[in-house]
Amino acid sequence: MQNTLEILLKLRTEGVIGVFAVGGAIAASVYVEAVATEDLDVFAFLQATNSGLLSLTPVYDRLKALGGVVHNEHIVLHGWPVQLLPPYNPLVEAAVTAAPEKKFHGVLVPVVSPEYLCAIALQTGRAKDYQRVNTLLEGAVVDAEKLAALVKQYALHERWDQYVRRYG
Amino acid sequence: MSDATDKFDLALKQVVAAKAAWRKHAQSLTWEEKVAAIERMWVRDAELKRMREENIVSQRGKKVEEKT
Repeated sequence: MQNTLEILLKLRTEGVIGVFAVGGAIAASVYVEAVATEDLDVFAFLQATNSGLLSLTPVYDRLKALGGVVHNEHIVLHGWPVQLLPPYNPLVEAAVTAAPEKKFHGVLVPVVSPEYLCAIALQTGRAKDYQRVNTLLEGAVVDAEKLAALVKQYALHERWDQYVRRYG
Repeated sequence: MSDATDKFDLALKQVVAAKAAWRKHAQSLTWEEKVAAIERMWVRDAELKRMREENIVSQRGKKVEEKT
């Protein structure tokens, strides 16, 4: 995965993508035990086209030039299927902007923090997302005050109550 | 009956303790080690998938043999 991450950093340096952060199961694996996942989720700010639309085409073109192979909704880089997603709402935008850097084989990579991972999982609200919240909370890696602030800021009270009903 | 319940409770406690210890260990691994573990899961899952498919083909072959 090191080569995959280095390519993403290269794209950021080249300005093909803006600020980015690793999310999903791979981000969670920084903080708690690893769980099976088939891909690497990456939230990345993209350049708007002249018409103001966000387009993945220039990013995919550059990635293909660097050896990437498109496969369904992924682009496979050095064996890792990568799903590139623009930050799709204010919560995810904030998660990317605030992402701390973590070292992977000496390379510094932005990774969504555990509090934002919980908030995004609550917002997404599938069974596996609540499971992720539970794993992060049980792993004692979440700052409860920070998470409470995110729940309040992004109006996630109902989802939080639902989580508590399931796991509390 | 009470003896069986005690044995069950003890076994359950041991399972819970073992699971907690495993999670603690798994969480303490480095990010690199965890990613390597995920990559090993791919190999394991691919092997399981291959075995399942082989098994399905083998079962189908048996059914055809039985019919003929």
